[in-house]
Amino acid sequence: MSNRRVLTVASGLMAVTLATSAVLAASPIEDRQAAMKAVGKAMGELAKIAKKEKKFDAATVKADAQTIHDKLGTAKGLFPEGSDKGHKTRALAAIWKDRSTFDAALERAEKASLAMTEVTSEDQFMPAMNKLGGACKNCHDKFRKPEE
Amino acid sequence: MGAKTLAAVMLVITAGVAGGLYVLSAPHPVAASSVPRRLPDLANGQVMYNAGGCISCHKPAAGQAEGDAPLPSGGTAFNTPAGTFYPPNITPDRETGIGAWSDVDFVNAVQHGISPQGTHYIPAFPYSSYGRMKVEDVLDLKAYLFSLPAVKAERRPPEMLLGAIGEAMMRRGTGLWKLLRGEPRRIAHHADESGPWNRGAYLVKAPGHCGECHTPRNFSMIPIPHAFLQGAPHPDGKGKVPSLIDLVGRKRYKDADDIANALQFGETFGYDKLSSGGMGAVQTNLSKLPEGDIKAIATYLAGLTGERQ
Repeated sequence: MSNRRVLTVASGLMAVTLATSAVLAASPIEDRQAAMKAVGKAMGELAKIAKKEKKFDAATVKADAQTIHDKLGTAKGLFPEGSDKGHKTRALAAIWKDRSTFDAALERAEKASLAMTEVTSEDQFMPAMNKLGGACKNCHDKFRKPEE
Repeated sequence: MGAKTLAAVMLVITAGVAGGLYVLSAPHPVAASSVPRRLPDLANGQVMYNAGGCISCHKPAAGQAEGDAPLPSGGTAFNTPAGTFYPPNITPDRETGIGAWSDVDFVNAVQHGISPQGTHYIPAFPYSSYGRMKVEDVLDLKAYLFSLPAVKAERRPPEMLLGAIGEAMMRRGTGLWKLLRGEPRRIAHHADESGPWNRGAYLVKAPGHCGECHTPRNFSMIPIPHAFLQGAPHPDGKGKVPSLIDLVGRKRYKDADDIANALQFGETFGYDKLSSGGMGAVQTNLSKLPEGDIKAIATYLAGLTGERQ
């Protein structure tokens, strides 16, 4: 392959990548909904242990908590100004009106999920779960619309 | 008929109608003799306080002392289409709270929506539901409130359309509204249902006042009896308050235990549906009830299928 062709292919690929990421970035609502769904799923697994439907296992707790932590970290950047419209969303305008409270609420959840990744024994689990559940609820109470 | 006569007749009719409405809208407080004497049960009063969710509306305004267990000193804005109200201080401070109230003052306020000064409270205060409570439970609630530390917090007057005149009209209008609504009825015991079911029905319909948001209202803002708990537009105007009918059949919850877990533990047990639109605060209040009462509420709700209420 000549240098020129490599360049053409490379720039073509780059254009495709850019276009794809532009499309993805154009829909932060769907992205954050996917992130929250993943959080909810992992939370559901932890809840099974809380409800005593599943035995406590440090490794799976750590993995689920890590998922929650990672996805919350992703979600943080997915609430840009103006993303309260354009797609069906339960995000309340209060997020952008009171951004600092929202950021603090999200950070509280991130911290609580990080603390959950550090849980190694069963007696540490419920206190960590109370903090994590409380953090989820705190943010949802203030910044999420009721269901349609 | 001359124009003068016509004007006079119109004036008489208008005055007659206004006078009639004035008489009709007058508050009718109950007499002290109708309130039983009671040795109060503080623990039961606390149950009523949490079931009634008093703190949700009477919480202190942001910035005032807020902790894990805030006191109901009032001041947080309550927005309605007619204006902004500030739920009052219901701690036992004698000057700014309810410390000087007698038992009958409290019963008139909570069950009949009438202040000690003899004016109607607007029905954002859910006295239409509290009016179904047993008067003994109401007296226990008063005793519980009186056992809390007194907080000095001046009442903030409402910010109404048309100011004081608007407020007076709204209060008198509430008198007419009460006539249309009718007197709240006590909760009947259903002998063919279980003890927990009956207890749950009472908690849901009376102190819990679930129907205030979950039951749709007609054009005169009166909850529609045959649509009890069938879901309604959210009072804030965004989204809906969900139906509580057939929660199990519609696979919202597995069974009564699942509903009880959701009410008791909320998001800690992964139930994220309850924390939005104000239900988060309700769940926090309900989580403080004795487990038996939470299960009773769940038993009643799980049995709601439309025919059975």
